[in-house]
Amino acid sequence: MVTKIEVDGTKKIAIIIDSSKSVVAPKLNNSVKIINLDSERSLDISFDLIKNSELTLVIIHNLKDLDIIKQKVKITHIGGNSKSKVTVHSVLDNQSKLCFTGVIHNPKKIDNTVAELIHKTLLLSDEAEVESNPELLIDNDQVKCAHGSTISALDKKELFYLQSRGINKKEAEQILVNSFINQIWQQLV
Amino acid sequence: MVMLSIKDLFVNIDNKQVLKGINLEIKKGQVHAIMGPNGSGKSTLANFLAGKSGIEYLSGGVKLDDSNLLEQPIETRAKNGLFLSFQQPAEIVGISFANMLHTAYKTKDKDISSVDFLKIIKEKVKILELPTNFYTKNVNSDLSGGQQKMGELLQMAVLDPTLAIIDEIDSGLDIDSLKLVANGLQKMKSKNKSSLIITHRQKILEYYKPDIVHILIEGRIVESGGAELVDFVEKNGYKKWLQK
Ligand SMILES: Nc1ncnc2c1ncn2[C@@H]1O[C@H](COP(=O)(O)OP(=O)(O)OP(=O)(O)O)[C@@H](O)[C@H]1O
Ligand SMILES: [Mg+2]
Repeated sequence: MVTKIEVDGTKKIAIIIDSSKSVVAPKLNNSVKIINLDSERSLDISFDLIKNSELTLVIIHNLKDLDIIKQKVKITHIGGNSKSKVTVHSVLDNQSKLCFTGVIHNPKKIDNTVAELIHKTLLLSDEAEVESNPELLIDNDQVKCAHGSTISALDKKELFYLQSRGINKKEAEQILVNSFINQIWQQLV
Repeated sequence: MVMLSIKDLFVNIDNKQVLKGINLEIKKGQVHAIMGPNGSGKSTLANFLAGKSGIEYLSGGVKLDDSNLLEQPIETRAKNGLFLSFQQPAEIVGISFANMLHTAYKTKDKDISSVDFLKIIKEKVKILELPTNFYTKNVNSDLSGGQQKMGELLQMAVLDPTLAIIDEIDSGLDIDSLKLVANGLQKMKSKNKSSLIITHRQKILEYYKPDIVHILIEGRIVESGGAELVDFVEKNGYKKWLQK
């Protein structure tokens, strides 16, 4: 089943997929809608942007142990002058797996749209796996569209810096994980 | 009496010898300075003492306050009183100096509350004459090179180490900031604490006077002496030792 959401005006939405419930959203403006999902529910969501609308969407995956998540998010610009920005931060530990597909669809004759999709993954374990599939379905050259995906491990230099201050390794790692996750909230302020 | 003792220390980086038999003894209360050409191994020594990975230990011994430093994990070295002020501090987005230092401080004073810790850090900011809200800044991200060095100074003041290794804290500082940092270091001096300051310039050593100066060339300490060595280097560079 796919959840479908129509976007009119300006919408800011955060989706959190976190079985351990350790990700806490900061105090945000009331207009931000926060959706907590677990794998029981359908994770596939489709957003239709009508004319002059603007969507800022952030998605956090915080996966541990044997979590397996498959998610597809589709952004369709059904009206012109619409703008979408999707930022996804995924943290994968232990043997968790994530398959994330982000689709940006811009049909013919829908002009002056801007779309951006960025997916960053932080891998904390050698056994965790991520698959990131950005799909661009663009039938119009009057649009600005950008996407990118990166996969990284914890930064050794940053870890050393924190440990050199007396912070133990586990705690230092947690600080860096939180920093990675929390950077996403800047999108919504 | 002895704070740090290094005996015949050899280390490699990428199978290349970088430190080739370092001997150094710092007594309690002393300030030592190391000067030397780019690439001579100064930061390698500093980083190795703090426990950085990627620097391969070959042989030799290091004792901090009579404990074997090389057996200790990075964070234990810090708990035992070692502090490294980095030549190039890491930038960590999304955590403030106050938060990071509170976490670090708790390793020594487990139950200290945020409120009590804030009092301590604000006091240090005041003593060091840093901008009043400096402790709220993110750890080195969005800071200039000079401001990052002030961040290192603040961390040193809060963590109050018995041995501070200070790697080029003066590079990138404007004249006023240099005085501020040097005065800050001066204020932290005490008879129970020691420091090892690495620098290329005479200026900071005019304010923060070393007891002993070492010249490090290609991984070896080739000469040790008093402040007159600093003058000599300032005038003549390192030619004298390089030609040998
Ligand atoms: N990460 C590294 N990988 C490979 N070689 C390295 C690395 N770090 C240092 N080295 C080598 O080790 C030697 C010493 O470097 P180090 O950084 O200790 O010099 P330094 O004396 O601090 O120089 P500077 O005055 O420029 O800061 C150099 O020859 C350098 O090439
Ligand atoms: Mg150096």
